[in-house]
Amino acid sequence: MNRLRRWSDGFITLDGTQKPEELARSTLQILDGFSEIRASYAKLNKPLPPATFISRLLNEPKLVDRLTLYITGDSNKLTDILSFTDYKKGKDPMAEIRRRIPIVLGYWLWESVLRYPGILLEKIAAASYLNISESEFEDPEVRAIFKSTTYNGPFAGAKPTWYRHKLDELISSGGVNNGNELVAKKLGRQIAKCMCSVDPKRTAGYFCIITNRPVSLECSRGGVAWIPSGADLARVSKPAFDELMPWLGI
Amino acid sequence: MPPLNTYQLDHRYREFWDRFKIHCKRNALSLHPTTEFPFKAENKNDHQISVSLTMPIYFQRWRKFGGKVDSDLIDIILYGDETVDTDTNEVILSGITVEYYDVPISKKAGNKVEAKAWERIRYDFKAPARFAHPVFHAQISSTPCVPGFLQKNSAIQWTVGAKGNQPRLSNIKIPTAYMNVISIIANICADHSPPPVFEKLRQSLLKNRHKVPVARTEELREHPLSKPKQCWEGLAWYVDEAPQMAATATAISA
Repeated sequence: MNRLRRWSDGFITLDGTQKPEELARSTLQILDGFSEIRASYAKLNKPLPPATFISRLLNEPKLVDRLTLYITGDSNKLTDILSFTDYKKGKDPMAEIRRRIPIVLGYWLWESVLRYPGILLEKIAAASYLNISESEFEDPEVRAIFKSTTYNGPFAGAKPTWYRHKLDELISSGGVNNGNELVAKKLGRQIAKCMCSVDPKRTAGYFCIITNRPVSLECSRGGVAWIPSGADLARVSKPAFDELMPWLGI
Repeated sequence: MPPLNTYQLDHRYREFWDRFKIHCKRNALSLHPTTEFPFKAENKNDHQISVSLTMPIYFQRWRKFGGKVDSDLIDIILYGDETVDTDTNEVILSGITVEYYDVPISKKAGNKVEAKAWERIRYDFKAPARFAHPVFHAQISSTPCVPGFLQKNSAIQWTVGAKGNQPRLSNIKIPTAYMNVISIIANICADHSPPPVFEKLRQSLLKNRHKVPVARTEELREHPLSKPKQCWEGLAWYVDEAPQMAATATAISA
């Protein structure tokens, strides 16, 4: 049986249920993402900290602190850089390290920033955050309202993703309290709310990274050691937490 | 100034919180919650927004005496809320509590230990000021916080022992600086982290403090001390490190 490898570090996993042409397009978009990072990194006059570099690449300098919280303490990335270093005589170890950095930055963006909701939200996390049911959020009319908040950095297009802070700005400027109210106001109809996958009486708001489902704050746990500390919307639903607790590094 | 809304307030506290978390991480100081954002801004009514700590901020095993290398350790929790008047974007009400605990190290993993409360200080402010209440004041009590509330921060793996310290006269109102969340955090770091670590944090907080709203003080508005208004914040009561250090250095060399 094939493993999905959604969680494997150093692997990019694509949705295998896509049509061949869609799969090919996603693959190219990922390749483009890495190329974009490499090209931009090559233009630097001096090395920049990862969070500073990515925030400039995304043209979102304000995100630097939040991005820093995604990398602080993540020593795996250093291992990725150093494990390919060749210490043989006559070779410059720093040359190989420099060559590896853009690749590692790409994996970091994909595996950490894009995976754990806090800065960027994939569709389920976005629906949950906006309090719009997943099916309503598939509606092109609804999606159109949030078009200006779409993520367009490296790997955009491989999966639809939205900037959390831009969603906030949009809701805030609409004079409403949440995404659901914004859509209801714009479309002039009631919009189904996004309910918690553990207790359907509660609205969700957060995202369980184990079950991939919307979850409420009350029915989930945060503070798991391997969730990046900037990913405040990433949670583990309580039933999954109780079952997996011995494995979660608590 | 246009009225702030819950999202804007949320972002302002988030920016401050992110910076503080980075500071703690870089200096190997244990701070909880690690992933959750503990502040929540909610509309109280058409003109007021409350910003509350939905779970306590927990300073885990910090130095009891910041300047002492071999200091014993102390655990500190902080919780409370502030209310912002959106007509002026000023804080009109705040009540923030800091509790200091002695938490013994558990010998067996998974066993809950009983912590002893050292102090419990509540910093209060209400506008307009009340008679016989200093505008900004602190009250000390020995009553430990409800353990149920403590457990909201999953890092707190201990219960509060029944045996606290001596009963305190909790109605004494000690006049203080304006102790908002930022000032209280500065106060905790000044007392419980190494001096160079505090100095870096103080510089960073001073740069960011304008982002969170400050207290309305109608009575103090015309007072010469209130210009600039931020001088009321406890944070501003800490002086630059340089002159003091220089003075100490001179004293030593003399």
